[in-house]
Amino acid sequence: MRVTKGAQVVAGTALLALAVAACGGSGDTSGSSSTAGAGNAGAVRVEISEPQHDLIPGNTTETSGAEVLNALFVGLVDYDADKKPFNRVAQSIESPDSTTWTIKLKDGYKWHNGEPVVAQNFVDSWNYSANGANAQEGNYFFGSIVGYDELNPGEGKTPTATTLKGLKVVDDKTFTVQLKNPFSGFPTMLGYTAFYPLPKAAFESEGKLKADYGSNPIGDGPFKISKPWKRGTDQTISLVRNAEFKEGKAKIDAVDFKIYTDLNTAFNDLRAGNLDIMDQLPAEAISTAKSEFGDRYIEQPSSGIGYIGFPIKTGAEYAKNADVRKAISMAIDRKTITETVFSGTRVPADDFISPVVSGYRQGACGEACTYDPAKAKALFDKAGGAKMGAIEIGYNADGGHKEWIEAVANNLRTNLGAQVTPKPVEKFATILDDLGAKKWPGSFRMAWIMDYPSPENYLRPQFGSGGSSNYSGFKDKAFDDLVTQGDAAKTLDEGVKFYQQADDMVLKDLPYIPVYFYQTNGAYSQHVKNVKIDPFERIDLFNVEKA
Amino acid sequence: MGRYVIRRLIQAIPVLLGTTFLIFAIVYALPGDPLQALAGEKRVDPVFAAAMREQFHLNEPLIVRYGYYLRDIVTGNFGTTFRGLPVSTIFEGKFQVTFKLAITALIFEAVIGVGLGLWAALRRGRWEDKFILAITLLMVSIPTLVSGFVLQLVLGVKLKLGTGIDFFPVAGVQDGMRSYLLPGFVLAMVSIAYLTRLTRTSLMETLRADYIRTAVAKGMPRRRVLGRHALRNSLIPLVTYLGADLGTLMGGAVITETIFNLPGIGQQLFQSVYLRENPVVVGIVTVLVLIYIVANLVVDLLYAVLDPRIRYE
Repeated sequence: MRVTKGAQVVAGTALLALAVAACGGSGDTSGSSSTAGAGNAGAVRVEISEPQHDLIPGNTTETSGAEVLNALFVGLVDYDADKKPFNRVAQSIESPDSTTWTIKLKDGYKWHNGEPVVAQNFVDSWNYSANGANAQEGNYFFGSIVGYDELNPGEGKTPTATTLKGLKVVDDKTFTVQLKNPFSGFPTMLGYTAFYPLPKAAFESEGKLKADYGSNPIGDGPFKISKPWKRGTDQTISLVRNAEFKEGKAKIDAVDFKIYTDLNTAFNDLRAGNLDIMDQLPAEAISTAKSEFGDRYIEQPSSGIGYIGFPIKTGAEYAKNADVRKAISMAIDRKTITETVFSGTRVPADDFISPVVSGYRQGACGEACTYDPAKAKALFDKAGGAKMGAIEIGYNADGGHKEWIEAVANNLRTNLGAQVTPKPVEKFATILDDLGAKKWPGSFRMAWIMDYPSPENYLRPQFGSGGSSNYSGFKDKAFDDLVTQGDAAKTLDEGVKFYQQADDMVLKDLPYIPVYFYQTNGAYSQHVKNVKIDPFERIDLFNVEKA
Repeated sequence: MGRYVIRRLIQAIPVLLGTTFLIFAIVYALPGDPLQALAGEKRVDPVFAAAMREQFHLNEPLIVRYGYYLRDIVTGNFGTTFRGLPVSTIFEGKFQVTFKLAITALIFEAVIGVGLGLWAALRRGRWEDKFILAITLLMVSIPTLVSGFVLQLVLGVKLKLGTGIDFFPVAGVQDGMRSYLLPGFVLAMVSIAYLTRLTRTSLMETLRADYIRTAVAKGMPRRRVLGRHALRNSLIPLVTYLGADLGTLMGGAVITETIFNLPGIGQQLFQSVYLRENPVVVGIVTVLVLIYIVANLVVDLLYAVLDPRIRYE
């Protein structure tokens, strides 16, 4: 008996091994259909993180989802090398007063199901996204259109309308948009994901999206989805070329978006030739990527700006004093911080308007953003900064900000002789809540990423009276007027002049100190060429070629 | 035996309740608002937040919420994430991946660990023994994070670029069982070392026992003495370790799955904790606890097979 029992154990292990093998065998087939998603053979493979929502334009405000949608859809406008909008689906976007806009569409753009793209598609899509009841992430983009308030009445109330009063379809190729206030930069908004149209086929009934639209979207762009994407399960989103695309065929047959959770892993896959394009690189890899990838390494500004902010009306004494703020700004060694702490993934900031936006002026900040310890110390002492108590710098501990905040603190200690306390908190929202309740006395880290490439987007939300993200408490009638004048200007270029004057006012008062501009760092494999990334960090896959 | 199993399973209920409540309380006690995490660094829309709080009972006291959760679990419903995805969809295929990874690791452990331990015990004090000691020390002292990335770079990237041998995928599961070899080994590394030491010690102890001397004295062949008498009697601590380790491997796959981009439960757990997707975290932990309980039960039952003196009534 004991012999058989012994044999049982052995047999048991053997069975286990067999079971595993069987598991592996079946895994191959089920794996390729569901979890793994082998994708298209010969496709260009692009790294993304998992999109946070299904592939619905109005519900996508993060870069990974936007990347995919950018290949599936084409919007009214796109952005050229000078960051200015040019028309794609739009034939013309015109307004006599910057308030009522008439948008005409070109002929020939078709949905992937063959239907033509008509004005109603844009209106349907915008109405859906603007409706508060649909809880779309891109909802706030529509806030400037007449009728938005009826669709978003506020907490605990139900919307009294389902469509935006300000949108009117004139004919199949024309619709009008009525804005609440004049805004000359309106066309710059229209290239963003939230403003893409939606086809008739996306809707189950009026104002209600089909449940599976987001996993199997029908777009109007150069690529179409080759099989439905199951969010949470599928690791690959596969697209194939849309041969019917009006602007011509894309130069590559297929694109696979591969979902990674770790950038280092993706980077190793890129090195091994299992991945073709990454539009963000792990910080550790930046220094070697330049030499490793040579001219296949991409480095360009992105829309983000990092600041140190101050509650200038309600904060501590040092936060209220403009000279102290300027002294602090001059004592920060931006160059060393961006080069060492950020390994060159950020560049020193010298304006409140990002370099990706037309209207940015190099060195606009002037002396205040130039590292000059001696002058900074003199200014600090003259303003009596040393007697104003320890300078607090709040930051959220969950976002990799500790290093640069500590570096800034060290700068201030050494150069100004000030007492500095970096103050980590769990979540950034805690700082925002405290600032909102006027309970945050010290300085704080802050960042801004644009919603649309207009200087206005860097100014009004952050520094305008009643701006949605005005955390410094900066309030100046002259500033508001200048921004409004910029909005009301006849053309974009005229508007820019006013925005720049407004920008100068903030630069003089420094409610925030611009510290660094974010950068896009990417690289691509030998299999592809002509890889371009736009200000929204989206890859122009239409023009990518096989090398 | 049957009654013993039933009794053990009934005992598992309070364990399950206790652990799930604990993890439930812990994830919801984490500072910060999980709904805020949805909005990133922007502020979450108050209208949206209010609707979500209502839907997820976030305004109710903890114990009431736990009650809702239990009610759903009993009906086989793991709930939905804050981003509107059913938790069961997230689980789909993921446990399979993690299970394959854990089993691969377990096989590496059992084969290499026991093998090396056996060899070291038989060559006690000689250079082989010392060599194995050195190797196992090395394996224990390298963190998974390091060994994972190094092996990935050396075998996945450099080997392919250098020699054209494309056997070890860098990431993903698109290459079937081959995808699990490297991550499985990385995951097993620390355990292999422990198991080697454990096997060596356990076997050496058994080898000194009286019945071994008797067996040798009565002229039994060495192979039989080792296999039938010594090894089998030293297996009990090893089986205990392996059984408990299956649970650890499944839970501990977080780092390995992230490095090798395996869409398994560990990677999901990491992401869900990061994104504050509490329903997913609680769901995964609940299932992991179940696996732990079952693995331990199987280990206890195996004792009886290995040692007839142990009887379960």
